[in-house]
Amino acid sequence: MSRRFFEDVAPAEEVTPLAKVPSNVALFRFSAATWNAHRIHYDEAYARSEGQPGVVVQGYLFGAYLAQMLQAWAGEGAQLRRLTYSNRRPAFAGDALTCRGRVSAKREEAGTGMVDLEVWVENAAGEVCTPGTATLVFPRRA
Amino acid sequence: MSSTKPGPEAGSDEGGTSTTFVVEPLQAQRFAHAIGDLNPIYFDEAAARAAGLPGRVAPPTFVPSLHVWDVGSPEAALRADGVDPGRFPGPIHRDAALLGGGQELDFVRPVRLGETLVARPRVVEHHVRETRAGPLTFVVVETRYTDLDGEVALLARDTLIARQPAPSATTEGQR
Repeated sequence: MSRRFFEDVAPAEEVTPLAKVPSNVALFRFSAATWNAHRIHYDEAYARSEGQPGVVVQGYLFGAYLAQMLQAWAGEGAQLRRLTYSNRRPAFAGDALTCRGRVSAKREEAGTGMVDLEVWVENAAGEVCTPGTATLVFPRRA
Repeated sequence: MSSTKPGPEAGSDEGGTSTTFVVEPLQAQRFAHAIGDLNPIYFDEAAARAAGLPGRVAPPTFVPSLHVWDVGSPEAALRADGVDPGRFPGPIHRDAALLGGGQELDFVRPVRLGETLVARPRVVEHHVRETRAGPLTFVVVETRYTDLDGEVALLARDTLIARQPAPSATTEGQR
């Protein structure tokens, strides 16, 4: 994995997007790994009984995807310090999702280089499912 | 091994419950596969150290995505929708439809595979909001994860949205 420094991050830089198509298998494995037996994530008939058009992508999966996007973009040596995300629009198994982000501020705190970002997950129609924010700490050039 | 015990016994200052649990390496790595994030810092000791970490770590959102931190409830004790009643403390109607509203996560430091953490969840907010779809109950649960030295490793604020069972037709018709 590459290494980026605080000095390399451009103001308003776009984060390398991360495309995901969470399959039924992915949702099942995510539920299994988190011991989450909530039926809306694997039982389509049950999900429909709650008014959903299909098996619902776990909100936590959005968070996991956003963290993956940020770490892959930031490279080793950077640390994810804060991530917030708000699930506004559901996604369903098989949806083509894209995680995106943009640098909103660069600042120094006690000599460390902090980068704040807007992040979000959008669906194939370009609608934002999950807006959020993040803060990363970057290493500095000596 | 994990256990749930009253907070005071475990040193909590809030009187809530706490759960001591191990960040199981295999479970964290399965989580990485489930999300399709095969970052070597989760799997390879040398790669983790080369990245400046003390050893292999868990994916950042692994711990705060866990539905329960211990073995959880037997199937017969789960809610009808499969949710473990132990997932969230606080007043949630047993038949309410639940949705995850989102999270605020503060990663104070990376969480190492195999380390022991203590989770202390508590309800910090609880309100009902009227929406076009009817009343929605918002419950915010803050969970503090500390290590065995008592240092905070992670803070998580989860918003849970509960839609109460359908009100009477009369009430519905008035909306």
